[in-house]
Amino acid sequence: MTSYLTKSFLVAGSLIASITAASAQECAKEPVTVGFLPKLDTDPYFQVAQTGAEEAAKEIGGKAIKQAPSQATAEAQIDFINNLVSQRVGVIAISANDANAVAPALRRAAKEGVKVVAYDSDVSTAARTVFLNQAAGDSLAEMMLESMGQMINYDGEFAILSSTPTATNQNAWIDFMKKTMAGDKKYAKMKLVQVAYGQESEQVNQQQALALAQAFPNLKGIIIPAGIGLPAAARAMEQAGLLGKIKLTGLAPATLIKKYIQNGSVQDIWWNVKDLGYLTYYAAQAVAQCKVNGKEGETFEAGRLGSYKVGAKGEVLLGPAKIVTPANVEEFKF
Amino acid sequence: MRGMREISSRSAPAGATEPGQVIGSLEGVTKVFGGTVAVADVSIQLRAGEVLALLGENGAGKSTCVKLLAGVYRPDVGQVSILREPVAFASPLEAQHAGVAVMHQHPGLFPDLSVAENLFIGQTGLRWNLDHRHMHSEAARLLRLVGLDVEVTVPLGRLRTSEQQLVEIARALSLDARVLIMDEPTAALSQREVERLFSVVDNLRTQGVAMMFVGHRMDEIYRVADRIAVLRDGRHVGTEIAADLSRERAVQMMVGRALDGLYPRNNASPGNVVLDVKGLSCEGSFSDVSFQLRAGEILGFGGLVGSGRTEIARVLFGIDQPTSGTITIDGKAMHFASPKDAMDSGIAYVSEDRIGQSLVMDFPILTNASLTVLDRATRGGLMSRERELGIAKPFLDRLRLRFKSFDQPVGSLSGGNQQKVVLAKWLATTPRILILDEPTQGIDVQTKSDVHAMMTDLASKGMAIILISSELPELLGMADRMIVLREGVVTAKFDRDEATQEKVIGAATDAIVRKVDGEIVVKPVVHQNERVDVPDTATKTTWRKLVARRELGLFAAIAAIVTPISILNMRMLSGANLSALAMDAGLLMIVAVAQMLVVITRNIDLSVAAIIGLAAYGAASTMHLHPEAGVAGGVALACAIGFAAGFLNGLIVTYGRVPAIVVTLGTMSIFRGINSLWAGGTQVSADQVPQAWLDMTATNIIGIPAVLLIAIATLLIVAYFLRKTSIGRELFAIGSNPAGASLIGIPSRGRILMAFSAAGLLAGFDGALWASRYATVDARVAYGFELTVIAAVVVGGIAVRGGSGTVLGVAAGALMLLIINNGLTLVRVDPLWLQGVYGLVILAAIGIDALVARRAASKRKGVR
Amino acid sequence: MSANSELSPDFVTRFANWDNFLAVLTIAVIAYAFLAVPNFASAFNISQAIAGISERALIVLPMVLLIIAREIDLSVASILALTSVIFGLLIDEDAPLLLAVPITLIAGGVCGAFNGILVTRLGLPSLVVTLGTMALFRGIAYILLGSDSINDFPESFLDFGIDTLGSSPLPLTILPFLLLAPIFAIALQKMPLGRRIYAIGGSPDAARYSGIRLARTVFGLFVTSGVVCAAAGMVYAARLANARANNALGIELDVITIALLGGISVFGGRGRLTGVLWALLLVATIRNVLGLLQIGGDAQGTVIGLLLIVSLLASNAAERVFASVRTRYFKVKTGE
Repeated sequence: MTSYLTKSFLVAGSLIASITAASAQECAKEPVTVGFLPKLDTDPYFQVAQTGAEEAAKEIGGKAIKQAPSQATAEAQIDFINNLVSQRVGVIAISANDANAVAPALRRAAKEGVKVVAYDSDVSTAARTVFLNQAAGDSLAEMMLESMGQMINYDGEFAILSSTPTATNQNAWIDFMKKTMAGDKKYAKMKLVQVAYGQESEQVNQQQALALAQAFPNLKGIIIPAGIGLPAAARAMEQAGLLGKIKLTGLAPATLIKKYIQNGSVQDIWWNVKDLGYLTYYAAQAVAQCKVNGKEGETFEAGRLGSYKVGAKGEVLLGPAKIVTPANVEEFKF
Repeated sequence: MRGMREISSRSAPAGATEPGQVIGSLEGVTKVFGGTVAVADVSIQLRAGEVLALLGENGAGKSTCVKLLAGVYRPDVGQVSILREPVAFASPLEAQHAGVAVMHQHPGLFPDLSVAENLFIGQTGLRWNLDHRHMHSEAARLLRLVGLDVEVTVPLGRLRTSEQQLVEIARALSLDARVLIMDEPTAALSQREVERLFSVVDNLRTQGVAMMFVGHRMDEIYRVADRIAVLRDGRHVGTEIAADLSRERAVQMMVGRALDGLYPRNNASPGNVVLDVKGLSCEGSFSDVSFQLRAGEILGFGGLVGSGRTEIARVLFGIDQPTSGTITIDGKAMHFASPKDAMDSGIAYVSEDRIGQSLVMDFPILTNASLTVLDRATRGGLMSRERELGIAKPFLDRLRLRFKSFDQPVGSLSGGNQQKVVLAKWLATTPRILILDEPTQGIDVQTKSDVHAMMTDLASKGMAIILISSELPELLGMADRMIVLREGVVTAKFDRDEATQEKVIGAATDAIVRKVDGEIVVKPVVHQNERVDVPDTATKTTWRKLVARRELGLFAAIAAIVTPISILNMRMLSGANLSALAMDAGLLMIVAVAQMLVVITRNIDLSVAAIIGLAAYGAASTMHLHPEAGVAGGVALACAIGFAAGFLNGLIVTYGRVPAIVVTLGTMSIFRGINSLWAGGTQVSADQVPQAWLDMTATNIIGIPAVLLIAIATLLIVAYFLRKTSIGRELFAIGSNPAGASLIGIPSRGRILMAFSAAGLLAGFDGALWASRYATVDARVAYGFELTVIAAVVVGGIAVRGGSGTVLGVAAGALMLLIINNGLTLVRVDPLWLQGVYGLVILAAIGIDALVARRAASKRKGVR
Repeated sequence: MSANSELSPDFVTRFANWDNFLAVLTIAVIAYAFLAVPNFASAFNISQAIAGISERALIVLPMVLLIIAREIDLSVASILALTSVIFGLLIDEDAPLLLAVPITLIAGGVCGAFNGILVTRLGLPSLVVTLGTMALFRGIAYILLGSDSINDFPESFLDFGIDTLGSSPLPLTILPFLLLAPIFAIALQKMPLGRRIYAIGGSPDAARYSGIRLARTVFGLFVTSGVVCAAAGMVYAARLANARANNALGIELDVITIALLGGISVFGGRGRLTGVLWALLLVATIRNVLGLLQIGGDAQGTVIGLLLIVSLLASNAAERVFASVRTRYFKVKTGE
């Protein structure tokens, strides 16, 4: 078997000898193919974002393809990064399962002449040109905390039901919330009693949400900064008759929890997911054509969304996220 | 012989025949397997009130004849007739219905089922309400008939080999057949048990049952047979009246020539003492055994099966450890921790269990023959075929092994040739002490005399031999000295000159021996008196039985978890918490019990979670797109999806013959893939489905969540099905002993297919409940849930090797896992510790379970 | 008689075995990929496809031995995660590589020994034991490192994770496998140890009664599995520059799939390592090709699942055909 492998390398080597790898400095003249690499295959969130990317592709040309692993792990994503590089896409747009673990593979991609942008969930700064952020990370955390504060009148115990213990974004938000609470007098009477994990499963989220309610009799609210967790927990609270007694807020597609938002027992922080895909595509093309190199202060046009400016550390903000309330819930199509 | 007519669906056969009338017959049958002709043009007749003995060497075609009559095989040429009517049995079950009953050589019994169930399984027809009490009383009656005194409710696996053989006999008798076939039923029986069997046979004779007896022991054949039919190389040599056929002539017919002197004499003069055993005891098996063994000597071990002969050999070979006493070899005290140690001291042990303990059936001849000397068969650390041949070939040649190639699997050889490979394998170790345990059991006359010749040859070269044999003539003919054991104690020692059959039997049993027509038989014992030493079964109260139940341990464990948690946090037992727990428990229990259905048939379904996911998405999206289908429509669709998926699994497992773990590992990915393509990244949310769909699981009935009630109802139905229907019991039988199940005519394939389909159906149903309870449904529903399900089943005490387990246990297992999860959160354990504690608890549960089971087993052994 | 039969070639069994079938299939798929799949035949693609199977390739080696001996180890991925975390913590405490590597290997061995003791001493089925330790080991990893990750490793270590051998496209991370595979193959196919493992799987009782130290051998296999998983844990940490409790989640099923596709019988005693190596190559190639054809992860899983079932079904059907051919062949011979 080894000898066979060696042989195939020799063949492969001779085949590609003529092809010279494009250097990282090379700038595309035409719109390129953008390979979107979300966290997970057929995840509704990324499916919606992709429609935005496709809309943008229709406007300015080029192609938006999407490929993702069946498991939300960094390891599985690396295979797909390599795969996209082999397909010679112009830009990879990644939503990373693990900021650091995919970085070596992305740097290798850059060496092969493929540019990298991140969206939704960032990778380490050195491994990408820009990061298309739905909202400044701190602002999301702050908004969730603020929303919880509003609902429980800045007084009482609350818990956080995160996704998995190793989720990068969530951990950063949780850290920020803890810091904010320590520093801001507004939150002095609020107490974070537990950080639990819903493991990205409806079932575990429901079990944990209910168990938290029992473990902490004075619990007033739960912040759930994870896609599937908020609707699952809302459903559990409804069945247990605790809806309204324990307030919920967090991040989730607004349409999934519309009815709970409408009756005031749940709030939600959300943004226009389709626009995120749209913006990412425009940014990716700008990066491919060297119009954007990730330096602070650079600007680019993003079709109907107008002009965007690259911020510190190469971050581009989609725009402020919104606290979804009964008043504005109809604005959200996802 | 009042039969099992009440629980047997078959019409009454016996009684309507005249003596001498031909009941069953083979008429010119030929059967070919692949290229081998097993039997050619054989005609035999079984007559009412008569025993026909079938005689022949191994491979002569006896077993084929038995299986043709029993409906296991169908003839290629010729026909099988019952009452002069040609019949074509499609299965053993049909033969059974036609009144043919078989006692098999290796009992087709089920170690996990109770003794009573073993008697009746497979022959009750399709029953939807088994009457266990009636079965127990019938079983007790049948066991009395064969003189077996055990409780009918104990699992068969707890019985000794000879007791199991008696159950097999009772089983055949229970069929109340007009044709009774006995295929070497006596091999594992003691003299007294054999006599008991024969008195039953005598009784059946007067009732006009036609019987066929297959055996190797001449004494027994002449004791029981009216006529003797001889087979040689698959051909019928002749049928004679037993009284007119001399033994010499019979042997001649079997082997085709006269055999010279049956037992060669060992004339070697004994040398030094090689093995000196003093006061050797092993608790529960034998005690205070002492003997000496000299070089060049053949020492015989006499006694009944189970008298401690084999157990002594096992201790000498380092398999079991003695509780006291010494083993000295060449004046050096030895302690054998393992067979390897014993082998290093020059001991070789040819086990009585050729198939189970001596050979790897799939392995080629050469590999088997060199298994004991692997380290010597190497060159530079690597296996060398040349060296292997160099070691094994001389012995195989010397034993005149008949074979096609060294690479032929040993399983394709006849019993006699297999035994030659076993002997070669042990002679290759150049032992100084050779222990032969029933070396000629079940092998043909020719090989037998080869083995005997080899023994004297080895002894003459100075090897010390211990011969364990149930065949008295062999023991008397071969042993220079012998010791006789009874119930683990040495009762007599004889030199060659003083040993006689009467003396040996007298020492081996406490029975009075008499001589009838030149044959030694044990005086019939008045059986009714035996009841005296029966342990009083009535004292085993229901309470004690309850305590012995495994589930109790689980519930105790649950209590042990719940109590401290409730003390730390009273809300553990609050209504809200319990109801949340109950809903999750309900969902897990349904799918766990689905998994159980598959696991008891010795299979596994890794795709359950994927089926749940597929069914849940199917139901939810249908509810979303076609709310007019109604809740019932959604549930039906989910069930249909689940059933189809399970059916597919079952089909590939049974008819594609791919192991279940492989199939379901594959279908797991396939179902998930289909689900994800179907969903295409969309999600069904609580808003998109009718409220009635959500209410299905949200409602409470008298304060109890509907999910739990649905689950309990499902569990009760499954429990009833498994306990009270014949199909349910057959599922256990298939898992307990797959080969035995097909031998007695249980349609294993159909049943396993059914188990998979039912499991799929339940998983699909669970999917509908899942979709209703958790409301938000996408392509990843229940992702990774299969491991939780398997954990619940395993913690619930379902053996992964199949055949045992209860619905109650599964329910307790599911509950336990959920309570641990719930409880740890309630007492505010750091969530990061959850998974570790969870794993630890699973290990603790199965570990404790294993320890308890082991203690129960050893306790039981101690009593015996 | 025997000498004669030595020569009679049972050509059917010799050429129509599982290994050759897989070899032909694999080569066909690779040939197709070379000719028809754009971008497959690039050094980068092949190099990265190989790097991507580094850990699975390592772990499948001891897994094959275990399955042949009628055991199974579901805890491999968890041991990988735990050892990568231990390794990360050691590096974090500034332990030199020369110290951290052996300690990590020992830690893996201890995990394997724990499995082995439960299986051999308590006589518990390994499927159940390792189902429990699967949760336990990963649980310990979470307890040790919590929700953090460790990403700072010595340069030399990270180079090992990223670089290729000289100027060839062969990634360094596959080297441990290339080193171990021949050793495992020789041990299994050519050494007395291998015979013992096959015998244990073929008939545990017969093996025990033949003087094979069953418990010791099985225990040794579990320890080996643990040590190799630890090695895979470090390879993983090097390749991803990451030590984390959720590393390699769920790869045990991938590994088992490869072993079973490779012709290892779940009932023990049967199968060869060469078949497994072909299966490894086949699965890696198919996943890579499907990826290049822009087919997503879920659909890839479906294809692999189908491949597993269909190929085994085909093999069973073929076996029946061959069996009848063989009988006919012998029938002719005996007729002569």
